[in-house]
Amino acid sequence: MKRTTLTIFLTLIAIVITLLFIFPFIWVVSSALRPYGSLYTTEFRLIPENANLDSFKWVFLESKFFIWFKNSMIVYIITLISSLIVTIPAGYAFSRFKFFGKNTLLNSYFILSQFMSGMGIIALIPLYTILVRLKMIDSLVTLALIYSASVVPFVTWYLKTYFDSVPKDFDEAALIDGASFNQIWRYVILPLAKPGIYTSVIFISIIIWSEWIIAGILLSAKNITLPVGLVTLQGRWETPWNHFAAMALIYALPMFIVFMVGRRYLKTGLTLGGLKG
Amino acid sequence: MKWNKTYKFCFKAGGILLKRDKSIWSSGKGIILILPGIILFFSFFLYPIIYSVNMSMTNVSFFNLIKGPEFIGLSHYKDLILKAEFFLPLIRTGAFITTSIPLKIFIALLLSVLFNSKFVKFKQILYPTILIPWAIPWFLSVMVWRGMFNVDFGIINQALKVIGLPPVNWLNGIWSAFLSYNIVEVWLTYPFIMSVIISAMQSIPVEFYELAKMDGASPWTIFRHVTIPMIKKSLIWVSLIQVIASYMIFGVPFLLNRGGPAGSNEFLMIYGYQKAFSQGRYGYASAFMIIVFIILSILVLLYSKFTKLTEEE
Amino acid sequence: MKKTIFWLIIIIFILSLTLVGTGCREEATPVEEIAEEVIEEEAPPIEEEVEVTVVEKPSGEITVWHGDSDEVAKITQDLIETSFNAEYPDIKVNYELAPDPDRFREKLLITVPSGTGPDLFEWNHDWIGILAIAGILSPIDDLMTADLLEQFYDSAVKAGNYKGNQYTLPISAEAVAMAYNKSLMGDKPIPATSDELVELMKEFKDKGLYGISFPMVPFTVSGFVHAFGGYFWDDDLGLGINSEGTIEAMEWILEKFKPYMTEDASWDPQVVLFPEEKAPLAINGPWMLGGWTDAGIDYGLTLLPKISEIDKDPMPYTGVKSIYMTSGCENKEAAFAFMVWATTNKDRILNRAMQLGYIPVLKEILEVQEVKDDPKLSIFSQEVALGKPMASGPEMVAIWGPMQNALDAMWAGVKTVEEALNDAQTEIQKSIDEME
Repeated sequence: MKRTTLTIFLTLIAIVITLLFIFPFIWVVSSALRPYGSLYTTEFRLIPENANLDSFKWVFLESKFFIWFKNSMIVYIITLISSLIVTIPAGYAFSRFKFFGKNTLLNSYFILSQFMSGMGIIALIPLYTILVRLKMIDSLVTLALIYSASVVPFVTWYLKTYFDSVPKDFDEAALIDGASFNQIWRYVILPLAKPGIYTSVIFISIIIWSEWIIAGILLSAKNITLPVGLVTLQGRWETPWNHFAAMALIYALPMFIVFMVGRRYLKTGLTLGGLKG
Repeated sequence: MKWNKTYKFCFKAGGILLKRDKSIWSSGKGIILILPGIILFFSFFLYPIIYSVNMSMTNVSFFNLIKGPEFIGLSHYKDLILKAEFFLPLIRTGAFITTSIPLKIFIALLLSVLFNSKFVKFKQILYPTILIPWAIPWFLSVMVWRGMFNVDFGIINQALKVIGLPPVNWLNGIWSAFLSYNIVEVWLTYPFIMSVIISAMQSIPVEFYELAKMDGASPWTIFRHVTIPMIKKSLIWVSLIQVIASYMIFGVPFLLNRGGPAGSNEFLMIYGYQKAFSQGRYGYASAFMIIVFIILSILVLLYSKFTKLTEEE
Repeated sequence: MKKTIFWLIIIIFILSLTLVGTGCREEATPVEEIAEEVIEEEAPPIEEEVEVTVVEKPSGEITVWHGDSDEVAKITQDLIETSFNAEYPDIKVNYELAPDPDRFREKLLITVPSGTGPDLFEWNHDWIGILAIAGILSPIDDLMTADLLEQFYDSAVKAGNYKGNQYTLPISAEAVAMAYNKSLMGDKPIPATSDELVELMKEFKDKGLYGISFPMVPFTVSGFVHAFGGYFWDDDLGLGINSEGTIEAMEWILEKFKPYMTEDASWDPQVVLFPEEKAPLAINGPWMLGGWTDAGIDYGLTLLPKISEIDKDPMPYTGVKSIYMTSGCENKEAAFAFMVWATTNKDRILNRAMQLGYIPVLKEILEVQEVKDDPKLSIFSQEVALGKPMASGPEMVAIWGPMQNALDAMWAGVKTVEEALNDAQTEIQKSIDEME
């Protein structure tokens, strides 16, 4: 049957392509199992000669992983809470309300958000001097606030586009039924916004979980977050790639879980949000 | 937390205003809601942005930051534009954008079609699996690719050897390095683009397909006239984000080979970075960044006019 | 939309113009105050403090940044507790790992003026020039004594001197040498001249391995460049990247080494060859030894081979690991006490020498029998003796980047040796001109 052949054929191709595309990931796992770490190994073996789990043991028992993880989690939670509290109402407001300067601000947000990564580094020096004067340096809370501030433009813009796709009728209907603003908020809007919120959470998470430049400059050695710690594993002369790979895998795990858990929401979020044109 | 209390207050205030106001969606409440965001953002970034503009008009550098730099007006801008030091990185970046965007979209599209196809079994396993690279911190991925591209021991050249092809000096040749950036970029971004495209594809009502099939359309025609138009919006959105990201690209070329053999592949951001941190010329780099920003704004402007971007509904 | 952006830009420009006058100066003021303090402290003539006979021992808390691995740092940490604090019980020392080396300079630049930086830090001496010009360092002329300096070798002391001021005390010296894998070499004679070396490399290449692990970085090639009469920077002659000797040396290196090495001669891939036993020889410095031992390599050390064509020994660049005092340091007495201890404490210096191969510059240590007998110390110190210290001026720092680019380009064949070096010369000259 033509159907079956096509199915088998395409499925096989899909499998091969999947394997091909996740190959680097497999390579990382392989490096983590290596006894003496090097990314430039001269032998090509998936499972290294003396494969062992020493690197993972090292991560859990000897390295500063848990300290760094704790720091990262603190920053993560504070950032999520503060940025969502600020951006969700703002996104809603941009979507529903009319006010002076709305378009200007919205467009500026969109442009600013693309520019954040570039400006961030050069803006670091003045930011640093001000923070020192305010004695806010070397604080995880400060870092969290900076992260929150930096995602405000993009997340607000994105949520606005998402809310645009939620029909205003719902809000109006609830209002007519005499619900207070608070109630509308909690029972109508938030549930409908879940996919958008979740997508925002993923965007924000990706940023926090891979930002190390600002964190590296602001924090002292005992306060650094996981990305910074990971990057500092690269020594001046050589890098213990096996340790690095092991820690990197474990470090990628939370992100992976967050992502897997909300795949459903992500799908909707990416369709309804963004540009509608 | 402090924020919560302020928030409750704002809501109550909003609620009061609501009862008083005839028009529900009026100014007052709107502004209250967006204010915290603005305050948060500008309290951290307004000063640095203004300071950068300030810096761009002084000769501040590593050497005189402490001692006190001098104001030199627009001389940096003159150097950048008139002496055309700016154009080479710009052109290189442009070349990169024009090659990488079509490549990324094309490959993601192919993958999306494949993984959305009803002829492929095990999608529940395969699809999440192929999205794994998304969860890996990008700088780790780039380090791994760097190892794989190594001309002597990297996997890629060893695989080429097995097939019988000559090894390529990926990271040390001008064009091969350019190609390697494209490969890595595609690899880093395909999960995101694919998710967007597949989500869009799955939101196409089934009836459209059925209608088309009843009219006797071939798969290719269906694809061209049903699928593509329906996902066009998402494609445009995703392309825009990618164009801007490519314009600002830094991490991939920098970590792979610091901008090509002897700076031949220094794109805009890498050039700026070198000026700032290798040579310590902060003032010059700030002026450079501002020009980059202006060009970016113009790009976005053009793109938005072209696709009627943030049109108010 | 156009209007929006236009107005946004106008507003930002206007705002910044109004801030220009005030902004710059305001930033500088607090730091200028510190700088003035420093200058004032230098004023008291040296006669007042010939000998630091402190009636009252210095006290306080100081922060010291180092660049060592955990194990190495631990040695110092323990010794601080046992030895330093025994002598100065009231000084608390925070011995911390410096933030990553790529950002280290910026971190100093940002933290020192604001007082959140370290009081002291340990680094190679080649940064003295740029850090001094930038105002990050505090000279120690008025704190040091002639006696103190006597304890070190002249060249080591001189390395810490810039434009007449002494900024550092030397801890140890390092240079590159040649290592060989005893098991791979077997009974073969260790090459002493370049001709012998080439023959040996050819043998191994034919066997399917590589001839040598030789990272093409300015530091490792410096020995050969100097032997041919070339130079990177000379205080009198200026920039010599494309001088005849340099060009000749690089062409010689490409001719003799390239056929037996890997295509990629940059640091990371090269450094792996030796511990993975893919090359019997390596040109590198004492910082690699720890890793080699970990990898289980039975290695030996020998001098860089004499260049047969001109019958000269290579004269490698030597680096002097030193301890600096920053301009943000307030408690100078306590900090200086630590500086002295860190550079003269026999246990610490001896330990680092025996365990890590860092050549002591403290005269009395070099008399210790253990040190004399230690084979690796003897080789490295011979190289130091043969070599030239890096200049400490700001020009040195401008050289590394473009020189590395030149090496990469000439190795990959993208440019000829002369082209690459000429380009580097122009680029570095531009940077130097912009510096002053």
